[in-house]
Amino acid sequence: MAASFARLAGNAPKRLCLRPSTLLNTSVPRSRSIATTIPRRHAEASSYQATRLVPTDPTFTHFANKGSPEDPEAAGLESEAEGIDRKIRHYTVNFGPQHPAAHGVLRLILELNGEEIVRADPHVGLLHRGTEKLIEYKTYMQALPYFDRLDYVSMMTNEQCFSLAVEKLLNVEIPERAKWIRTLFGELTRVLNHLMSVLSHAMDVGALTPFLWGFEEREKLMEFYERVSGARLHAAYVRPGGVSQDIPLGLLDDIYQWATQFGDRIDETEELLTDNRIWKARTQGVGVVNATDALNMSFTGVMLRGSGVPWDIRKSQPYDAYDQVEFDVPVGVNGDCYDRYLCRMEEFRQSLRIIQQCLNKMPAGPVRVEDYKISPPPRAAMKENMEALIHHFLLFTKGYSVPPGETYSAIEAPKGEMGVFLVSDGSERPYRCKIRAPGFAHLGGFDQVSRGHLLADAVAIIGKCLCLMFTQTLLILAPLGTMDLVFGEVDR
Amino acid sequence: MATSRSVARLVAYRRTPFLPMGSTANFSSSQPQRAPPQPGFRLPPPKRWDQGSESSLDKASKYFLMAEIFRGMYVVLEQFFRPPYTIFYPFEKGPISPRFRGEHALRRYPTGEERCIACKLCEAICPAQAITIEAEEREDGSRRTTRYDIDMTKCIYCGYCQESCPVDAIVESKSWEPTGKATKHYLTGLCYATETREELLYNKEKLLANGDKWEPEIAAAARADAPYR
Amino acid sequence: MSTILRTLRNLRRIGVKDFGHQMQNIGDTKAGTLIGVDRFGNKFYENMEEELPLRTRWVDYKVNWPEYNPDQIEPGWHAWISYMVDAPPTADKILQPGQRTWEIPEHRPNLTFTRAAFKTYSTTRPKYSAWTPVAAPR
Repeated sequence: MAASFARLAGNAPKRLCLRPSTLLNTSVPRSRSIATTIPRRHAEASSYQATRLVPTDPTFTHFANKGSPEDPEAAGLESEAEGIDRKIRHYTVNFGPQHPAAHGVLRLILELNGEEIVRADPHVGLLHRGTEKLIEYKTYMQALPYFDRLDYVSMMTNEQCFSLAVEKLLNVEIPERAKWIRTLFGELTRVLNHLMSVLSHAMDVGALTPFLWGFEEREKLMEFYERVSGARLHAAYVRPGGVSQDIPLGLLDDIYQWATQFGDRIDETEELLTDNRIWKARTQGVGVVNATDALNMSFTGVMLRGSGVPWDIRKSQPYDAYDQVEFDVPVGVNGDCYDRYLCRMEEFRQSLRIIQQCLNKMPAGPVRVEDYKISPPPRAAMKENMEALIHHFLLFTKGYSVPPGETYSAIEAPKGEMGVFLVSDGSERPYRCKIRAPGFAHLGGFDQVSRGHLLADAVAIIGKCLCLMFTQTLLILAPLGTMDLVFGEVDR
Repeated sequence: MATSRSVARLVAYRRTPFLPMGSTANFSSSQPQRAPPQPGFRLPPPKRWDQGSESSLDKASKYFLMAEIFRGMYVVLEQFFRPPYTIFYPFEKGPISPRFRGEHALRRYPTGEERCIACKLCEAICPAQAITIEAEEREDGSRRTTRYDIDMTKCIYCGYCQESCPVDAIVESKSWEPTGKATKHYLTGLCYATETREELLYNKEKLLANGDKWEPEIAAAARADAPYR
Repeated sequence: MSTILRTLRNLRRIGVKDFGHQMQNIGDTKAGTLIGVDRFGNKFYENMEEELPLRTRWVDYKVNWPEYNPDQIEPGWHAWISYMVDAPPTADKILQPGQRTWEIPEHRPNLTFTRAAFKTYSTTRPKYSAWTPVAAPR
């Protein structure tokens, strides 16, 4: 008796359909899938029970009616030849691009067997703005604002990525203070992004309240953005050679004040979500990606860490000041939406830790390379000094030429590995600029991750797609609800 | 809470303070790879329902009394008694900084002479190519623009024009207000919303009028931001 | 935070007339010191002690609902109410209107939706003119 109670109590509420989904074993006719492998088969965590469909026979005779005395009329119908060979086609649903849960312009063609997803075909490109091609016709300085508009939920990390690539080609070392400012704002951006992805994920599965708390915090963070750069979202603040302006007086104090209270907000959100049985039921065992598949599908960021692969570019190839700050990288175990959620919550705390260290260690000094061929001279110099004025004019008309070469520089953006492959032919404009958006790879794995799940879980998986579609590029915010897709980045 | 924490336990990475870029990554731990993994590097498999130390009665009562849901709901209830973060727009307004980039304006010198000398730096740097400038010699022999058009529908408000301007003529003012009748534009943040799209194709006269109107605020912003430029 | 006690307290402070006016417009009651009035006639108040952050400065529009509009606030006061400056235009010369000879004499709000709305035009002389054919007399 006690044991049966414990069995009831120990696990999250069960789904209606209890058996793991293996479409291969069912007699349900399967349509062509996009991917030829079905990685989910190997990924199922034994402690969770994934969604499964109860097989019905092709005539849709309900189980409950099986044993009952047959209605003579129905039996007559059944015996008709056309009733026996009846074929059933999957129901195809067009999810999005205007669906509120699609967080932007994600369009999914879902093939459904009942409520189970048999095939998910993400259609991208609705937010395509031709960023990469446009950049080929812009100077390096002009190309920078385009990066804000890729992943418009984590603006400054995009700029940072491009700036690092250009700096690598130019072979310049930026001043210490600029490095710390970039690190500080990179982490603020991570908090900004995770607030959006975690809490919009929660909203998608039904918890609206923490979403509103998160937006209060986002509002404060965007005010910091605004004070430092002049824009709440599209900052154009991190530039090749440093950052565009120094931090205004008093901003660090305010960031400190914010950081002291933000930990409580994380605790509140965790109190509301982490143990909640509804939240667990909606996320545990959903969207399971095992480590091999995550690597094979080139997942990065939390999508990869949630599957148990410890991989963080901030640790492996530290950029800016990340080699001088102390932080831990959370790694999940089961690779499901719940673990990715826990990883994100922990990354909040680690980001706070880095922010505190940045505030404490922020050095004094210049914030831009003092090479007037790369970064504009200060306005006072420009107004008095002929040479500075000439540099100013050259920078804003011709731009600076970058030595020929190519580089791939990647950073750990909040969504995963954001990379820029930059080819320079020695002129002022990039010859080629390929943007490696983490969301794109995550969306590419959506078919495998969502197959066999219920339709409602697709939203949980896309979760962070919210921001994707706002602007202009393909940004996929999250990991299937936790994929964290932002369409600005995905569509580019 | 405790159970979920154990699932979320972290792998700690302790590294020596400095490693040059491109050094071999050691993701698993900060120890050299030959050393055995530090304790806690791999998590033990999650406990099954019958392996926990909690008594079945505890678990059953937590399950049936919905303990964790009520804890969460209490947090929500607390929020009810906290001061709200909302403000009563348009009677109270959110903060903007002196660096804010809003509607464009062309400034004048204190004498009333327009500043712009048609050097066309802003036209050259504008990533969206929203600015069109034509210049002619004026009657007194000075070089001034005859056309200074900004297509505000193209503008991306990156602020490069005001950064590039050597005479501080083109600035982005702090104006972003909607009109009451089109308040949906409030959401976009930087629209002095207009009824028609045509009204957003600013010409030189409109920009100068903007400058005349907003000069007090533009001057104050320039004064506040001067040490940083 | 609109608690009953706060509302009653403010009712006592500002009187019944202002109470009704504020309830009709803001939908909340606020008591503070009058900092200044701009050329349009909007009144600006401040209460740094009792109000919540970002609610400490507010405007009492000259016109009633629904004619009031944030673009009726003058630029200098706009800076003050947006917390861009600490000192109000009454105390800061740079923010005051009428300091510059070439300024527009009156405050001009956003004129869209009216006949005075901005309509763009070319500021240059046309570079070509249409050809008007003239038939020579035969």
